[in-house]
Amino acid sequence: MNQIVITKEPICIVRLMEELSQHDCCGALVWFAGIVRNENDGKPVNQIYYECYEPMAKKELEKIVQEARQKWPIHQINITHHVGALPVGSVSLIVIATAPHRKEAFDAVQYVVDELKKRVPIWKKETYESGQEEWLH
Amino acid sequence: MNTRILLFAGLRERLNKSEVQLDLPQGTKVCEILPILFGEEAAKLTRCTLFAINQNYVTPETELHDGDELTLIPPVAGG
Repeated sequence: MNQIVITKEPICIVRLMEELSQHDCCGALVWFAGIVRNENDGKPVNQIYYECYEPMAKKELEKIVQEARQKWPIHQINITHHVGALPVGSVSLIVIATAPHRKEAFDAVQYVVDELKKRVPIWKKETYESGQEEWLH
Repeated sequence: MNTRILLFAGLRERLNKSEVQLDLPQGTKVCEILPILFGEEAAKLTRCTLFAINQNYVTPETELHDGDELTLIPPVAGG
């Protein structure tokens, strides 16, 4: 089962965990959280604004999940990405995978996050303490 | 040939528009759109812009067809 969500609401890790479908075959649950960091390239960051082309982002994420499923026996994958402005310390992304064993769950989460950063049409603009703004490349 | 072009992030801010409609000659290639929209800046933008037609990535040499939706994709940075 896949769940792919793009949301303007705050992301709650506990709620995502509760919503996962339990399966007795799964001995591993791995999750990754992306958090807004307080600096980039030595510049103090106040917030990040996330923009997304949602229909294409969801299609591309579905492709990435299918690729991960071809590589590893994953039971469930949940991807939740925030759009809009987020202050330092906020959760911007959660990726969860459940699998029979830990290695495939770790590998799948790593793969999904790496590919998301390469191909999914989501952009971020940092606002620095100086008031300057910059789209990240 | 009618083409809808979607703009995001820095490209949207440059034109101050999120969407443009262009009437293009048959056979126009995807890579020809940046010079039409951004003039002299296009050479710099070409190096870092990807393209999608109807929400699927395509190469810069792909020809557009009537009714296509072309998305100009500046460097992505999700996560």
